[in-house]
Amino acid sequence: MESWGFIFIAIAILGLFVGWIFNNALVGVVLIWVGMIAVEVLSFVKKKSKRLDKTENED
Amino acid sequence: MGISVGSRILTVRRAVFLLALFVVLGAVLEGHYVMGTISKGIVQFENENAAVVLAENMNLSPSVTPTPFTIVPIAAVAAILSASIWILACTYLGLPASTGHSLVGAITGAGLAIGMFGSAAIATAGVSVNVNTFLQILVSWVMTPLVAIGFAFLFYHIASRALNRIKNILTLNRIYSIITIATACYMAYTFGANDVSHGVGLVLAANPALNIPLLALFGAVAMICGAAMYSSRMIETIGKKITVLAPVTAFSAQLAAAMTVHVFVWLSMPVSTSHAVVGGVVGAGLVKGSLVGGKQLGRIPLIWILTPFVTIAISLLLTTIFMGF
Repeated sequence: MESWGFIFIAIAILGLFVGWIFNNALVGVVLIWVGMIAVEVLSFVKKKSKRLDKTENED
Repeated sequence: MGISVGSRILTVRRAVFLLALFVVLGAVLEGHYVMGTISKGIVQFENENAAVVLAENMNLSPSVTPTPFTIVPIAAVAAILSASIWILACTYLGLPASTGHSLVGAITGAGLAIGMFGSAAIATAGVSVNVNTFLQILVSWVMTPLVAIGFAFLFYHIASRALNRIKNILTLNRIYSIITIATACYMAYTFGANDVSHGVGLVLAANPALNIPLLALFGAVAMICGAAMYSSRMIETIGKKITVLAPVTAFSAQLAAAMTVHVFVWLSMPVSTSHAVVGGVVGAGLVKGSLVGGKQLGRIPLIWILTPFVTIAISLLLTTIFMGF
């Protein structure tokens, strides 16, 4: 399994745990949405900055 | 999602990401339809009053009507285990076995075992398989791929005519990507409403007092874990080996599959998402006249027919063994 798989699983389990604590499934769903989207945004930003570094080095 | 990856619109990672987002929504918002059928529609008590007395004697919560799995929870464990063994074996071999079929078969097998080998106290309440519901489910299983084929055929015609008017290739590609991703999300939503309910439906049968949306969330999270760990093989079979997928085909097949599953979810029927997807792919492939990968397609119905019989047998055996201890 790749590293993103572990991250997705961790977020999903955290969402379930928080939903269970609040006894409200929608709280868990919201947490999973926020967590997953945050990871995607972060990886996009990271990729973009890496590409920028590469082009700067080539220049 | 397999279709989107097969047609190279999404990566496996992005597909699992979207699946995670929409599967939890579908499960929590609409999972209760199918969960009701799985938990108390297939196996039931013939004499409910005797079942309530039985539950009271066992000091179970009086607020809910017991199901046979509430009285014999080990049978629910045996049924889930039987379905899981079969699905894991098929997943390992890269064959799209249906969770719905496996589970309905496993529940039937467990119900038969409780009815045949249950204690004398259970025999007074009489445990039987609800033949009417079982037949309705069988009809819905046969109808699923056929309805999906029909929908896909229709959507392909509509989509290809509408999209043929767009001459700019770049705009066309962008539209293809957007509509395919949107329908993949819809597919994941209906997947949550249908497939997640299969597994947790039995948990609800064993303890009818549980919080249903929370139970659905639990199932959805388990699905996400499974998708993150094992999805690559299945994605390859569905998306690449059955038919060569053009974007408009992918869109039609996916929308057809999602709509078919959604209709059956509203009817509270536990159908197979994978059958709907295969039906959708075949339906869209028929329009193009380019059905390829016939050998792979030939193996899939064999698994469809085998699944309920094998799971009834495994579950009957496991439940009998578990009840013996």
